[in-house]
Amino acid sequence: MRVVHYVAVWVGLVILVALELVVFNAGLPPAQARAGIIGLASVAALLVAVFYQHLIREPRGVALLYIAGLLAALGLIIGMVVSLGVQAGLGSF
Amino acid sequence: MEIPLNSVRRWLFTTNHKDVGILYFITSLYFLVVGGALAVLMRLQLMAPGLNILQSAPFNQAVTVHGLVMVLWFLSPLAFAFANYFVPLQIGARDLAFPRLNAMSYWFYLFGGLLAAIGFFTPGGAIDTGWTVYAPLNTAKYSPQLGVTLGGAGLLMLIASVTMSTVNFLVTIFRSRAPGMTLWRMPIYTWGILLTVFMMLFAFPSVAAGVIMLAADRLLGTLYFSSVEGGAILWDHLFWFFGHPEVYIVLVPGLVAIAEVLPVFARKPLYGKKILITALIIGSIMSFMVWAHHMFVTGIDPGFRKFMTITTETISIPFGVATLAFILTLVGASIRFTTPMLFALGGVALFIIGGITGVFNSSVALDYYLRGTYWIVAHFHYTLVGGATTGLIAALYYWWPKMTGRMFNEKLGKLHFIVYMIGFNLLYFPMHFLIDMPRRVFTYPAGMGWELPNMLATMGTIVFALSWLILFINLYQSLRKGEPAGNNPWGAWSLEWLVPSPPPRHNYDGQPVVKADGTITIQPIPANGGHHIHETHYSKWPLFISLGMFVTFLGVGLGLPVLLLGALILIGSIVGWAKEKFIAVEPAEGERWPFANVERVRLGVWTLLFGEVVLFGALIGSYIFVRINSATWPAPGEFLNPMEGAINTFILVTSSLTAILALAGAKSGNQGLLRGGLIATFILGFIFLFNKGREWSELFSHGITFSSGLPATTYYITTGAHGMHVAAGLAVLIYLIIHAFKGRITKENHAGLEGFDLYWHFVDIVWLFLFPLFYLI
Ligand code: HEM
Ligand SMILES: [Cu+2]
Repeated sequence: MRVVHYVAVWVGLVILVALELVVFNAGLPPAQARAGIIGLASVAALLVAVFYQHLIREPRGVALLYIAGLLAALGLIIGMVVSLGVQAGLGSF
Repeated sequence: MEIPLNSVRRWLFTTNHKDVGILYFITSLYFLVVGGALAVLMRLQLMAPGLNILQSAPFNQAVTVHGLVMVLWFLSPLAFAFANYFVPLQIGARDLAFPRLNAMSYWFYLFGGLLAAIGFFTPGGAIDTGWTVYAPLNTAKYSPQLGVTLGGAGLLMLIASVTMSTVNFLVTIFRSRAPGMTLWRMPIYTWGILLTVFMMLFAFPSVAAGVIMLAADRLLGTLYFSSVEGGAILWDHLFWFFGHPEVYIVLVPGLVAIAEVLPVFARKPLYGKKILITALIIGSIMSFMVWAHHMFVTGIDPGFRKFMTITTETISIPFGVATLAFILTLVGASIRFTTPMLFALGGVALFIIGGITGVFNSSVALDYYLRGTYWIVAHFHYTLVGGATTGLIAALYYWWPKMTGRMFNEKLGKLHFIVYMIGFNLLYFPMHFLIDMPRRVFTYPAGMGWELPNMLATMGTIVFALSWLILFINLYQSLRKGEPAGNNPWGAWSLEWLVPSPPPRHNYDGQPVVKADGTITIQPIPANGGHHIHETHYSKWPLFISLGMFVTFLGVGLGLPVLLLGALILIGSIVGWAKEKFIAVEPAEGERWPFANVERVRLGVWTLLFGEVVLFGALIGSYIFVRINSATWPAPGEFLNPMEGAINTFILVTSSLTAILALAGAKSGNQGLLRGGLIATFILGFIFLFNKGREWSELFSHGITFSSGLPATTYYITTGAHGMHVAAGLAVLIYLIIHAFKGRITKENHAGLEGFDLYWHFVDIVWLFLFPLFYLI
């Protein structure tokens, strides 16, 4: 990858973080604001992983294991939340 | 550095995988004796009602240290003694991928164990919370004594050791296989170790997060486990998300040891090797989906319980398949009943019993009655000791001649087996009848019908302990006057039996090559201009770094001077490590699927990061958990300033850009870009930390401290853990900058920088989530 590509990714990241602030200040209902902000953050994280960590060039095994770690982490988080009872989970977060 | 083979220094400074394997072997048996002595004391106390051999406090310490030591410092390390020694041999490698790191894993393991055990000599005694270290008993309020903090420190050192091993074994197995040694052709023990380290990689970070949070609670006064919103259930999740995979982490090496031994003495190949491997893979994955069966009686959501019941009942299927593969290997075979074979067969039999009792536990209705009784103690000893340990004893007898070059006494071996089986069953079978007797209680009243099983169990303990004595005598005699073993005393067919016993330091005089039909040849290494590969086999820094860490942790208890001394040793020896020229040659060719193009250091860093994902997942999960569980929570912007967070986010994102530009500079030979990029990255990282520090001190000056409620607790510890990662990155950057300015980072040689970049971008990714989670929502 060339230097301009890296800079382009950086511009993308800055815009995404700025958008998070926009959504934050837009006065949306909390649930929508949260979904939007976390969505934007996830896209930004994905950009870093794919272009700065070069997942795009690595063998698929690397991405698979990355995802495996992510699934383990998500499984733990979801399990923790669900164990509190579905209602609690939806109610206050 | 060359060191005479018969000197003490060899063992202190060695980095050779076989030496390290022997160190693990001896140390794990040492911890077995420690844990065993504690067990004997407990069983003497429980021999009859109302005895006074161990009072409640010492009993609690004994039961705790026994559990921790046996699982974490004896059983797994014994498996990794064999893994260290035999995985490189079995795949045709010269050593592990990172020999120095391997030595350091060992020393961290040893010093961690000493930290945990040293508690016995402090006022208040050793850690006494049970091996599960349940909250809120683990907090300063209920367990203020130093022993618990030391136990936590010991655990942290062990977790660090395990992490280093995990990275090392994964990179080795994926990158150092001999030509023709495809994954499917790997011997079953190596396969089992591969799966084991995968489970370790994703399981240990969860408990690591738990212990870090506990340490913060105890030392800084945060509220994770002393609050009701976190408390017992939070710890349960973090502990058992690790804990259930952990029981498979100790089980799988035992099972594959059995699978290694059975075919050799049944004189036929392992039945359904691919099916067995597939079953173990499924079992390993599923082991992450059953953890809450340890929480059935805690009042968690019934739907969630039902889910975990189903997964738990399903997980016995893969292990049933494994057992079936063993039995079918034996059908129609002409069996040689040698000592290793007897232990392998015994292991299968005992494991079946333990598996059956496990299925009972997975029923929520039954578990209400079984939970916390001696039935559970029987269950897990049949699996952990009966299955896993017995399997590893089979491996011990099987590989002893290879490791020492000498045979053991077969008659004594058989005697060991008989006494072992009698002792084990006399010890644990009666516990099935103590189905209503609570475990972890130091005494019991007469007249409950518990006398006879307890008496039998204590007699069994004595017999069982004697059986180990027979083993040790046998090994001692073998070392002194055993028959020479020759290369292949058992007529086995995996690679390690092709070389002399014990194998030479570099393992193979040539390059092993595996052909499609499974035959193995050792081909002479093409004489590269005729000069010999020059490898390093010794380094003093692994020992010194571990010692520094040990003293630092001691300092947490003993005070600032000790702490500073430890930090000094630690920093000095890290610098020494960084400056040392250590050569570990990677094989020029071999099987590397699926990571052929991922260079060794990079794959190592990747592996570390996969585990880090779970570490931060656990920290973030804990934050979400306590937040949902709290009645109120400050609105976004109420105590943190979103703009400050955003500015820091821009700074860190930009540092990712400068880091990648530095790498691009190295790759294109543009030294200016390389150096400028590294320095810019350092400055930006430093500003990020500086801003964080300012933010923290501002909060503190407004009276928002670690103990000002869970919002503060979670904010400080989660971003603090992230900040430590940034700081560690800055330390590595200093090293890289020095190297860059000495002209040592070049087009051809930038593996270290590439590894750093991966790490730095990961730290950036974590912050990309922490920023919105803490500042915006
Ligand atoms: C065959 C499938 C298995 C099933 C279905 C199963 C099920 C269970 C269940 C439901 C419990 C919780 C019981 C309670 O605390 O009330 C339990 C406890 C336990 N199991 Fe298993 N298990 C199985 C195999 C194993 C294996 C293979 C090991 C170790 C090698 C093991 C080690 C343990 C340990 C250490 C505990 C107790 C932990 C504690 O509370 O201290 N289990 N098992
Ligand atoms: Cu379990």
